[in-house]
Order: sequence, then structure tokens, then C-alpha cells
Amino acid sequence: VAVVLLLGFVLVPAAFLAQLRSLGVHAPVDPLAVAIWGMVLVALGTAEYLVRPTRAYGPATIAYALAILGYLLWLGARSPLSVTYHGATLALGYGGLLSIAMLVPLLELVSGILDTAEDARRPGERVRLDFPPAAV
Amino acid sequence: MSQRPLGYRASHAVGLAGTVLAAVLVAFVITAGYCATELAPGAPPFGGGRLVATNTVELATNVSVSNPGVYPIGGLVVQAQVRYGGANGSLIGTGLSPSTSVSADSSAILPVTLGVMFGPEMPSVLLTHDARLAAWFWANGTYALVFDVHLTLQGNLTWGAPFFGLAIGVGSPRPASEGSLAYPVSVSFTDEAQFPLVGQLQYTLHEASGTACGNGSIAIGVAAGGSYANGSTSYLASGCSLDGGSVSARFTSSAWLLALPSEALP
Repeated sequence: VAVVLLLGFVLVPAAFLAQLRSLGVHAPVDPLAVAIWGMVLVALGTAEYLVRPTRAYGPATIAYALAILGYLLWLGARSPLSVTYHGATLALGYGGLLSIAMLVPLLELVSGILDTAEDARRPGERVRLDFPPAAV
Repeated sequence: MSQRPLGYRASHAVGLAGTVLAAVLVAFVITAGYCATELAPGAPPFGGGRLVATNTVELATNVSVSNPGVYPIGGLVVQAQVRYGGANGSLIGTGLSPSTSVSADSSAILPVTLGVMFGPEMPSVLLTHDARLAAWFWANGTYALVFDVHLTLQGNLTWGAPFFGLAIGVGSPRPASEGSLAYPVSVSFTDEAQFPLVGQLQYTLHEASGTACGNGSIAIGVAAGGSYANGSTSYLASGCSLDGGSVSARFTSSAWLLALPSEALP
């Protein structure tokens, strides 16, 4: 899980920004900030996965979803992506895409709230169902 | 097998929906990025000059957009602006295309018309000299329904002067009636603009002090790209001298009222 998240949140964005730089295009997002956001998301996503067999899973899911929402809002504040290349300037507004993309962490958030509520009402039941004891 | 409580089932379904949506969005962004690289815009130079109002001509071009990808382009509008003297120079003309949509796997033509007004802002040098004018083009549209695209391009517009190389020459005088002098006047130029010129060239001969002391008029009729050379006679009152003088001219018709640059007489 950590490797997949590292790829998706850190390595691929870093490679994309490096590729833009090699083309002489300066993206309006700071690569260091993207890397920091990516590392935070990798840490939270990995933590969510690790605490799945515990009651911390719901709150971890909520924290992860809120962090992704924050990341998308941070990216949205930098829209449009404006690049100048060979005398042409291209401004790409991706606010519409981010609006749709925000549904993903919002759904995660709902899922986390439901899990937190159910875990509080039925302590241990989700763990028994998701991680049944191995048959002897 | 025990039945999972409703809250957990709902949580699982919502989480799964989020995962599916994330996968769909990643696939969408990758394919939209790839298809965007296949877009191929093109624009021939402006041409087809057409007189649309007094002192106003319209130049036109057709911008083509080929969209072989699977995502449409909506609300595509192209604007153009031409200036003399750089970004802060005199505004020569502005243009606009109608809003057009380009469906997936298709192409479209956007007619862009550039209105050029020969008004007070038009530097008179452009009436008699060709030039390369700075042109700016803006394209706005929505790509793949969610991406707002704003493209700015800078280019050049080759300007052909309607009275290119205008020369008004005054020959040697000969005596005329009542003590006046008759001066042969010759007019020549090439219409390098993309529209014809039909009207009257009215000229005034000035003494070195600026006092007008003779005038005349020549009928002009020249097609776009054609050359013109003709002459007439102007009568000056006795006492007038054109030594060190100048000639001013204006072109008039039902559609034109152009003040041409003043020229010094040899």
C-alpha cells in the first residue's frame, strides 16, 4: 500500500513536474510543497491501512479523507495551470476536474464516519467480520 | 455466515464507490492528456479584404481545429487583435470568431473576421508603407467538459499599404490664362492592400510657408494589387512659388475619407 501511495502521491507528480521543467515549462506549484503534501498523504494512507483491525480505522479514514480534500483545495487554489512555451501561453483551468475529484475524499469521509459510528456502537464486530480468527 | 450490519455495508459501498470514481478519474485524466496532444489547430493568413463600412475593411481567415480524440471541445472562440508599434502601440484592428463546438473525432472551421478601421488611431504611415504588424490571438474553450483552456499566441500580420509608394510629382510650369501657371501633376502608387480603391484623390499644393496655392483632383480606380499612374494639371495663381513647398492629399469616395501623409516637393 505504501509503495502504491508513494508512486501516486510523490513519485509520479515529481516525475511530471521534472518533465515539465525539462521542457522549459515552469508549473505554478512548488515541487517541494507537492512532495511534502505527498509524503503526508502516504503516511496517513499507510496508517489507515495499518490500523484497519482497530477502532482507530474510522478516525484514520476521516483524517486521510480530510488531508486529500486539503490537498485538492490547495491544488485548486493554484488553478489555472499557466505555461509559456515557444511564445505561446496556455492556461489550463482544472477547477471542474477538482470539483469532481473532491467527491472521492468526500465519499471516503462518509465511509470513515460510518465506520467510526458503527465501531462505537458495536465494538469489535467489524474486526471479527473483516479479520475472522483462522480455523484451527 | 453472519449478516454484516447496515452501517458497515453502507461504509463499504461508499468506500468502493470512491475507489471506482478515483480509478475512473485517473483513466480520464490520462486519456484526456493523450488526446489533447493530438489536437491540431491551423490558421492561414488573413485575406479577402472587404469594405464593410466607411473607412472600415474586414479581413478574414478560417482557423481549423482537428480533434481526433474522444473528448469534445465546447464554446471555442478565437479573438484577434492587431497593433502597430508593439503591445502598447496603436490598435489597428480587432477580430472575433463565433462560438463553435468541436465534437470528438471531428474537425471544425472557425471563421475569424478582423475589422480594420482607417480612423484617427490608424498611423498614416500605414497608408503608404507596408509593415509587419504584431498580432495577438486568444482561443478560449472547454476541453473534455471540465478543463477551461485559454491559449494566447503572438504572431505577425503582413500589412499591405493601399497607397504603397505614393508619389505626387509636380512638373515644370507653363503659362496659363490670366497670369496663372499650369503645373503638370503626376500621381503613382501601388494598391498592396487586399481591397480595391475607387474614388477621388484630392490634392493641395502648398508654398513653403504652408499657404495653399493650388489644388486638383484625380479619379482613382485600381484593383487590389494593381498599380496606378496618372496625371492632371493644377493652376497656381501668380505669385505662388512651390520651391520648398509640399503637397497634401486625401482620398474620398462614398466609402472612404482618408488623409494621406503630406509630402515635400522637390
